[in-house]
Amino acid sequence: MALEMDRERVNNELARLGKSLVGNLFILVKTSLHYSEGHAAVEQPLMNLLKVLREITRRNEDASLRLKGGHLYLGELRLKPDISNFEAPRFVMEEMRRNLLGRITFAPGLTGEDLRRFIYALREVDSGPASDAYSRVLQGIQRRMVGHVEVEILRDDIPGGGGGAGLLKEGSLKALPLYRRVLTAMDEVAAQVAAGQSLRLRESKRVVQHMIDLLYSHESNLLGLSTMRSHDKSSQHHAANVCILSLAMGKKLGMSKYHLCELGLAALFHDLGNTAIPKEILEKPGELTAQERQMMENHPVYGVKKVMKLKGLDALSSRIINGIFEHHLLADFSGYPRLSYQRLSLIGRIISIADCYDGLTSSRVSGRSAYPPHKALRVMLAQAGKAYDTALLKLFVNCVGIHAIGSLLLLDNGELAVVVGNSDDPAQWDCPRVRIIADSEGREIEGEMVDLGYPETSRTIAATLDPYLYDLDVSRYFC
Amino acid sequence: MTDQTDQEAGAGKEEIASAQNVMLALVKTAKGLRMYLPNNPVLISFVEELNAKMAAHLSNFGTLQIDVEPFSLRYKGAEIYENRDPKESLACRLHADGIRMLLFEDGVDARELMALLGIVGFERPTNDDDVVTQLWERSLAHISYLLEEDFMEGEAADEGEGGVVSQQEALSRIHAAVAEHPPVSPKMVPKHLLMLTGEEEKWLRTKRQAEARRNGLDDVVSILIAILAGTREPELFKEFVAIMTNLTNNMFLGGEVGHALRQVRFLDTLQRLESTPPERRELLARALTDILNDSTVQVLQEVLDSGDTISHDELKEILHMFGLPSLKAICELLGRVEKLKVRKSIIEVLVELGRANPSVFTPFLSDPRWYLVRNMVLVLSLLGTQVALEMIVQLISHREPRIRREVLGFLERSNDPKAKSYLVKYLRDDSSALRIKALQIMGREKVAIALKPILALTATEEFRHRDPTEKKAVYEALGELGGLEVVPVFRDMLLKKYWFQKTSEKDGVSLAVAGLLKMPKDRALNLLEEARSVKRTAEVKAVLDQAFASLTSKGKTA
Repeated sequence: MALEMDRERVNNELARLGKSLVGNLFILVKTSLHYSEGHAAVEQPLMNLLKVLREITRRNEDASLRLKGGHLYLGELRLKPDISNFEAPRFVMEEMRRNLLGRITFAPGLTGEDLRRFIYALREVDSGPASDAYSRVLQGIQRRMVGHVEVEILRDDIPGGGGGAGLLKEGSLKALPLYRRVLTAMDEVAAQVAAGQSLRLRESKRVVQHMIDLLYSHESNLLGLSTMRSHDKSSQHHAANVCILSLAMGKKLGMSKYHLCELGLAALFHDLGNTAIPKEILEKPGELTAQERQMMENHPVYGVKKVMKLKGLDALSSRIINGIFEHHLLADFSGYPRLSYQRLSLIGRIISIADCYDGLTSSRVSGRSAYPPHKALRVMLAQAGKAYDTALLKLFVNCVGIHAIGSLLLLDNGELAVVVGNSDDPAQWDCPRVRIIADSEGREIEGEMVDLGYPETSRTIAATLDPYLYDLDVSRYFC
Repeated sequence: MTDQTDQEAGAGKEEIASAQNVMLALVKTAKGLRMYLPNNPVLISFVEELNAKMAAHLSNFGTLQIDVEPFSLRYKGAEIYENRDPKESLACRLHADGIRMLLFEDGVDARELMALLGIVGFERPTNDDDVVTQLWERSLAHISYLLEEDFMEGEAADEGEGGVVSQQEALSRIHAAVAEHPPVSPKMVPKHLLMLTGEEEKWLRTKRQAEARRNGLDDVVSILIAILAGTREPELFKEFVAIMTNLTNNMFLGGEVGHALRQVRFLDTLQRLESTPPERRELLARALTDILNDSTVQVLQEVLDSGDTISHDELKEILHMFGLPSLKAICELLGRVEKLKVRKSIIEVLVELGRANPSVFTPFLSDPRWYLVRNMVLVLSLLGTQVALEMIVQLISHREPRIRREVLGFLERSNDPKAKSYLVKYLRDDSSALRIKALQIMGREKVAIALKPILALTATEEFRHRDPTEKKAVYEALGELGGLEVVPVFRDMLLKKYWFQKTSEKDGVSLAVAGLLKMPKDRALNLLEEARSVKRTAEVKAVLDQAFASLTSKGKTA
C-alpha cells in the first residue's frame, strides 16, 4: 500500500516535470523562431529547459519525450492535457509530427550548447519535402555535432507494414468518446420525446458537427465504429451507425459541411417514430401480426408527427422530416409508408441505403441473424436500379469498400484480419487495409496494420468470414 | 500554473498591452455592431481599428491565444477582459457553451472578425444553435477554439482502454471451423461494375445540386399532404389535420402565404371529395375555419395591401374555399384592407356567399366599425333582394352619417319603388347634407309620396331655422314634384307683402322662385308674370326678372 502511494507521488512529480519540460520546450522553440542563434533572448528559455531536464535525469528517470497515438509521454508516463496550458503540448506534438520525430531522448550529460544546436537544427528542417523531414533532422544533428540528444522516427505514420496504426489509434481515441456522446445525445432526445417535451437539438448538432470534423481527419475510425452492432435491439447504436454511414456518403458526394450537418441529424433521427410503437412490438421475436406490421410500417409517419409537434418547422427540421418519412421509401417508390408521394430527396435516398445496410448487418431485426458486410452488400447490389439508385449504391460501396470496413478476412497464410480501411484508388479496392487479429494458429494477437495493396505485403485474401457466426465483435478493433 | 506559464513565457508588458488593446477594440466593435448598421462610418472605423490592432499583435507576437474563464478572458495569465454580467459578458457566452480557448492566427481578416463578433457579440439564440455550432458553420479559417471536451477526450479514452476483453474464444472457434471446412473464396462483384460511370457521376452531381436548392417547406407540405390523403387511422388523421392547421397558420404568420394557400387548397379539395367520410369532412371544415383567424387576417391584409403576391382571382378562389363558416373573418378582412380593388374582390365573394341567405350578414350590421358596416351595406345593396333591402333600411337611423349616406346611395340607386319610399325618412336626418341630398333625390326621382311630408316640413317651426341652402333644396324638391298642390304655396310666397321685414320678403320670393324653376315652364311663367305685375322693391323685382329671363331663355334654347 505504502509502495503504491509512493509510486503515485513519484508519478505526480514526474507528470509535473513532464509538463514543465513540454512548456519550456515550447517556449524555447517559439523563441528560436523569432531570434537567431546566439541571441541573448534565447538564453533564459534554454537554461529553463536544461534545468528541468537535469531535474528529471537527477531522479534517474527517462528524459525522453515520446509521441504515440496522438499523446505525449515522458518515458512511459502519458502526459495528460491540461486546460490551463493546452497550447504547449499541441505545439510540441505538431512540431514532432512535422519532423517525423517519434521520440527525443535527452541524455544525462546534456549541455546548453547541445540544446541550442538541436533546436536550431530543427529550424533548418522547415524546407524540403515532408516525407524526408526525419532524414533532414538526422543530417542537421550530425552536421551541427549535437551531443546527448537522440531521436527516433515516428512509426505511427509510416506507410506499408504497420502503416496507419498510429493514425487509427489516434482516431479511435477521438471516435469512441464521440460515439458514446452520440448515444447519450440520442438517449436525451428519446427522453424528451417520451416526455412530450420540445425537442432541443443543440447537443445532437454539436455531436454531428464533431463527427463531420472527424470524418475529414479519421474517416476509417468513424466507419469502423459503425460496425458496433446493436444486438440488444437498442436503436441508439443503429441511429449512430446510420448517421456515420450517411455522412460518409454525403462527404463522398461532395456535400458542403452545412448540408452534411443536416444529413447527419436527419440520419440520427430517422427512426424517431419508433418511440410511438410499443416495446413489445419492437422487440417481438416472432412474426408480426398484420396490425402490428401496419403499425411498424407507420413509424415514419409517427416520426413526422413527433417532429412537427415537438419541434415545429424550420430549415433543419424539414430535412429531418425528409429523412424520417423517406427512409423506407425505395428508389422505385415502393416501400412504405404506402402513400401517394413521389419526390424522394437525396437525403432520404442516402439514409435509406445506410439504414438498410446497417439493418442487414445487425441482428436487431426480429427473427433474422446479421449478415456479414460482403453478403449485405451483395443483397443490396442485387436490388440496384430498383430499390436503390445504382449510382448512389456504387457510391456507398466506394465508402465502405468491396470488402467493407469491419469485414473479417481469412488471409492466405492462415491469419485472420479485420478490414480497417480502403483505398481511394479503384484499382486497389479489392486490396483493403487490414489489422491482423489472429496468427495462423488462431492465437489472438494485437497485430500490425497491413495494406494488402502493397506488393511487399505478400498476403492475399483467401476467404471472407462471417464474424457474427462466431460471436466476434469486430468493432473492438476500432476502439 | 497560469502565473508560472506567464512568467515562463516571458510575456512582456508590451505584449500584454498589445493583447489588451486588441481586446478593447474587440469589445468596442462588438458594441458597435449592436448599435450601428453595417455601413455606418463609425462601425467601419471600429472594424478597421480592430483589424489593424489584431494584425499588429499577430505580426509582433504570433498567435493570439485567449484563455476563457467564466467571466474573464486571459492572455498568458494576464486578465485582459472582465464582465460579470451574464447577459453582456463575451467571456460568459463563450464559457457557457464550453469554449475554453480562442485562437487567432496570422492572416485573420475583418470579415472573419465580424463573423465572430456577430456570433459572440449577441445574446445566445434560443433555437438549436449555440456559439460553437454557429462558429462551426461559419468555418472561420484563422479563428479556432478549443472546447472543454477537447481536454477530456484523453480521459475518456483511458476509461475505455480498461474494458478491452480477449476474443480468443471466438477466434479459436473460427480457427477450428476453418480447419474443418476450409471456406471457399467468395465471389466478389467485379470492381469495374462498382465504378461510377461518367453518366452516374453526372447524375449524382445533379442530384446534389438540386438537393442544395430544394425547398424544405415544399417537401414537408408534400409529405403532410400525402399523409392526410392516404392515412386510414382516424386518430392519426385527426392529429395531422391539427398539425396542418397549425402549420398553415404559422405559414401565414411567417409570410409564407403561397405555401399556406397551397395547404388551404388541399384541405378544401379533400373536404369536397366524395370519398371523404362525413366525420373527416367536418374536421377539415373546422380546420379551414380555424385557419382564417384574427392573426392570419392581419397578415393577409398586409400582403394584399402591400403588393400583388396574391392575384384577385386567387384571392376570390381562396375566400370561396373558406366560405360561409369563415364569414366573420372574411368580413373582418374586408374591414381591414385598404386597396379598393381588393375590397371589390372581397365584396364580390361576400355577395356570392350571401346570395342564398343575406341575413348571415345581420351580426355585422351592428359592428362598431362604421367602415365595415358601410361595406356590408354595399354587399347587401349588390344582393338587392327584399331581405337585403329590409336589412339596409334598418340603418337609416344609424348614428354614423357615413353609413346613412351609404344607405341613401343605395336607395338612390335602387330600382325598387319601395326603396324610394324610405327616402322620406331622411327629411328628419341629423345631417343637413344628407337631408339636402335626399331632397334632391326625391325631387329628381319624382317620389310623389314625399310631397306631403315636405310640405308639412315647410310649415314647421324648425324649418324656419334651417340653412338657406337646405330651404332652397326643399322648395326645389317641391317644384320638381310639382303637383297642383304646390302652386298656391308658391303664389302665396310670391305675392305676400311684408311692410317691415323686407329681407324676409326677398328670401320668401327667392325660395319660391327656386321651386318655380323646377316646375313645368308654363305654370311657372304665369305665376312669375303675376308676381311681377305687383309693385315690389327693386331687390325683389330683380329676383323675379332674373327668374323670368332664365325661364324664357330656357324655352328659347330648348
